[in-house]
Amino acid sequence: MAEIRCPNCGKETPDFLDFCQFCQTPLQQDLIHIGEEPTKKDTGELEQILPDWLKEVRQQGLEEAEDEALRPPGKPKVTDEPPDLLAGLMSQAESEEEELPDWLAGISPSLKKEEPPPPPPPPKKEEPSSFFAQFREAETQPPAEETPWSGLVEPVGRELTDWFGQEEPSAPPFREETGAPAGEDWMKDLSAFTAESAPAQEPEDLSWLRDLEAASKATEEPAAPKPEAAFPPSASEEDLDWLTKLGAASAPAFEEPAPAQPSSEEDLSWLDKLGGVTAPEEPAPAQPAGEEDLSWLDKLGGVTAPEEPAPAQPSAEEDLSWLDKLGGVTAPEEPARAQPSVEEDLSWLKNLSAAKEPPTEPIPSQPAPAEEDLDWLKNLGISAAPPSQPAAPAFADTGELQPKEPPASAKPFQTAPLNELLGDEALRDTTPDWLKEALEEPSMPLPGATSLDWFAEQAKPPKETPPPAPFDQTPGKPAASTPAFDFSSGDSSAQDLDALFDVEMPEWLKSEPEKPETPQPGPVSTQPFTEEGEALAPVELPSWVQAMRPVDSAISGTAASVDMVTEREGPLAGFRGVIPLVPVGSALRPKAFSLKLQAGEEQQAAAALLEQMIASETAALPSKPAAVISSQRALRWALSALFLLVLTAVLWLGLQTMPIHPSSRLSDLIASLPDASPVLLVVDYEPAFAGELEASAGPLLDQLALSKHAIFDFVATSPNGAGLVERLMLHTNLSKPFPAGLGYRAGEQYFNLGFLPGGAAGAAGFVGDPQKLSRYAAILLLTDNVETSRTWIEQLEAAGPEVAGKPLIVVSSAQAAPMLQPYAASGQANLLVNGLYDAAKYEALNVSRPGLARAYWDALGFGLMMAVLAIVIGGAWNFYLRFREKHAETE
Amino acid sequence: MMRVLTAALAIASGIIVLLGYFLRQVFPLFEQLRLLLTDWAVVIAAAAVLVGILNLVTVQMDKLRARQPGGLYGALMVFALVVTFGLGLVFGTDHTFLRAAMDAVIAPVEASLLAILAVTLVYASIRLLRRRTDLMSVIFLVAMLLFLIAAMPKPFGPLPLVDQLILDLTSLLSTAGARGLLIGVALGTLLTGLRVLFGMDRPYGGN
Repeated sequence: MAEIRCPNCGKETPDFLDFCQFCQTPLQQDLIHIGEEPTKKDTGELEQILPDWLKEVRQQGLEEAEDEALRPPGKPKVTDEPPDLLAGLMSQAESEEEELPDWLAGISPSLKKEEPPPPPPPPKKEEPSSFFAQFREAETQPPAEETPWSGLVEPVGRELTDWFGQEEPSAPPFREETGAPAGEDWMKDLSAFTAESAPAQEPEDLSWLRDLEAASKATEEPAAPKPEAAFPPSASEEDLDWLTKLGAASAPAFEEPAPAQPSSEEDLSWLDKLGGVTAPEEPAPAQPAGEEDLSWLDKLGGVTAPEEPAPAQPSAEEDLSWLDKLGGVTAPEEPARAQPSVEEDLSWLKNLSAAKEPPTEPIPSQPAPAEEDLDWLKNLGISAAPPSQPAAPAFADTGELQPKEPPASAKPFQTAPLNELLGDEALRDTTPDWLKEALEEPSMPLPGATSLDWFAEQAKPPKETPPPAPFDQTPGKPAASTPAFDFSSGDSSAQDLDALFDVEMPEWLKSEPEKPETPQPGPVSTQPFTEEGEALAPVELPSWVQAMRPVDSAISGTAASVDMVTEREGPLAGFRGVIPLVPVGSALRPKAFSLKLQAGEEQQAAAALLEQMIASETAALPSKPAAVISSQRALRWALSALFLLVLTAVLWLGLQTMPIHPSSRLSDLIASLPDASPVLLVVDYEPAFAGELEASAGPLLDQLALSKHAIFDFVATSPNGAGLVERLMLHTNLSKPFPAGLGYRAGEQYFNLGFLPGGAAGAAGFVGDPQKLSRYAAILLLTDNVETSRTWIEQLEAAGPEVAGKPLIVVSSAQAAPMLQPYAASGQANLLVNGLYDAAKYEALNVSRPGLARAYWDALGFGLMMAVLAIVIGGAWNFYLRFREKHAETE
Repeated sequence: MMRVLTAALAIASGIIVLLGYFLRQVFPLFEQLRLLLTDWAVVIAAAAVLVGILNLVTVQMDKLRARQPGGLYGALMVFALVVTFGLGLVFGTDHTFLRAAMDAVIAPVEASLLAILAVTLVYASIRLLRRRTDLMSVIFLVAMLLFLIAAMPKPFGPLPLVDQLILDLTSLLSTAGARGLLIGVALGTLLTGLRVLFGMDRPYGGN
């Protein structure tokens, strides 16, 4: 468990405590919660507890700042609100000797000069600060022995140091003239600001910086990089770089003049940066691969960087691209001074950076990554001052750019997510407290740190980007950057490390309007440290910077689903998706339905109407009392009486008013028959039609008997037929004695053969014997039935030619005549006497004998006339009644 | 077995009768068989009339014994039947009593029914437009009136050209309709005979 030394009592206190367990002194006063206004704190008093090495570094930085002040242009502007990025280092500034990290001791040239470098720390050393010693150890170890996870297997802090060591190669070489690249300028500004700001947020934070500054001052050889000299990346250099960025001093590029002293010079240089001394920038010929981490620090500082052509560093470009967006500072296309064009954007940059030196010369060593930085600077509307002219690679003449053996830490390796590493107790103990705080999000709300994590999402280099060779450098050519972490091995830790920065860019930052790229030289950087102001400037974050912190709402906003609602009121204000929209378990509960029928007034009215209709159907209607004498019955009686009276009167009166026109065609056939020939008479009618048929057959039989003396054979197909033969003979006056009749007697002139049963079969059997029918001169069919007449006609026709050749005379009633008309028309029936109508004609031709037809003729006439009148009058009256009913219904 | 036998007898009788018609000249035997079968059918039909009369007497006597409503009319009917049948058997059909029965009872009663029918038809024609006032009713009434006017005896005699035109028109229409009906009846009769011959219809029972 890591411990924090209390700044008040100096006792060790567990780092997870916010207050000292002995004196109750707040240990983490720099925590700024959401909504809190940062308070200015004077950290100058804390500089007393800075370690010596840090003081030296700071002193060195002051010297560089003095040198920088001699140069008219390129002074970074000191801002009033530098981010308290070094707050995590306060725990290490407790003691001078003990708390000095070994790695710092090994890489600081000033410390090396003043005191011998400490021996390499044992691999299992548990001191939090000891893990930095691996940088120095890594330099001595051959690269071949380095494994990707060697840093993790061995001392835990080693991996962290490797991680930081990977950053150094990515640091671009600095030039003395033009100052540090954009990514370093803001650091210089930041350190300068902290130097100028008298009150510090925490005394502990800047006390060690004071020592560092003092150490830098005490260094005989200033950490300022030599002009035109670039240094090859190494482990110590990497640490130096990122610490240089943390120092927030736009110091000149760390350039080691000779590979023999890489670490000391590097330490000295970055400590100079920490000291806030602005060193002249030199053209950085090489852009280390670890530029990505370095650049995000640059972006955090918000310092514009001159755009430099990118020789060959695609990976660094990628890293710088996201850093550009994060930093929000646009970089001009042409080399120009790092003068912010937009005041509002530069204002915060001014506040953050104490001293910023716009590059006066184009920095060839700031290739595409620098361009990317400038791009994001463009997005924020800040035009960085391009370098006036291309600068030669830094330390080019010193030979520091000579390739050397890559350090152990410079070799790519993979690390697990730092947060996960901190979860391990063993690793946690070996991890520096400041690094823990930097990795623990809840307990480290530092604006700079959180912003870094947040912006680191954009800094993830594409995995397909091949890592450039870190040591493939030549003078005058930018050195290839060494990746801080080698993700090419495919270990999952790489992704875990990416996940550490897996935060998307917020929309407000993406949509930042692009500002014109107008290089505006301006006082970006100022003197980082005043002459007598050794105290660091108070740390006070502006409100908008605080808003940039990756709070939960901003981070979760990208991953939040659509259905998540952002709370606007109450203690959960600002959180999104905390309270589900749908109550828990609501989907499982069935909806409650009301058992009461919800019916409107209209529906109720319709229901009432339906009930009324049903009730009316079941209710018995009151029956109307039947009239004693209804009109219909009276009408029927009236008609019956009328017909009865009229016809009776006509018959009784014997009226013969109706004229009859005789027809000769009926009597011609009878005239052709031979005399005294037998004639077959088929009586096929019912007693109801006896009056009609007797009147119809009377004239015919009278002619046959009178003129031909025919012998009649009667056969009946009806049971009553046999009884009708005598009636027929009597009513036609044939059987009546002479002179009233013809005196025909049964068995002599006529024969009643009786009833022929079997219907059609009897007829077929009767006509089946041709011998029997051949003797008849004619066949006379008296019928009122269509079926029986059809049977007789068909069977006589089928009896053979002998029978078929006999004359067939059909005497039918008026009702059967239409159906027998086709047989008469076809010749199958030689003669058809159609009821009383034809009989009257025939009788008229036969001298009105026997007179039945004539007696009925007037009655027929009057009866039909009455029927026609009754139908016409009654029909008209009923039609009127019908029309009146319809009219009444319509009305 | 009986079903097959009856069907076979019916089919065979039909085929023999047909052959007697078609092969009358070639095979006179079939003609004789046809006439024999036809005579058997006439005798069977006459016996069927007697069976029918006996069935009528039995039913009416059952009504009388069961004292059902109308049983008395049944008894009167049976009494009249027995008397008429007896007198006919004893005195023959030419007996005066039988003539009086025919002339005084049967013929006037049936004629009265036709008279009532005539009055009913007139009454229905009058009420037709009250019940159904549509085109067919009007056409029916108009056609009936025209035919009656043209066919009825007139005191002034038949209307020249008008009566004959109407009668010819109605005769033409009625003749055409009658031909259609008769052709349909012939086809139906032929089909029925074929179905019986093929055993598809068994009006003699055994279905």
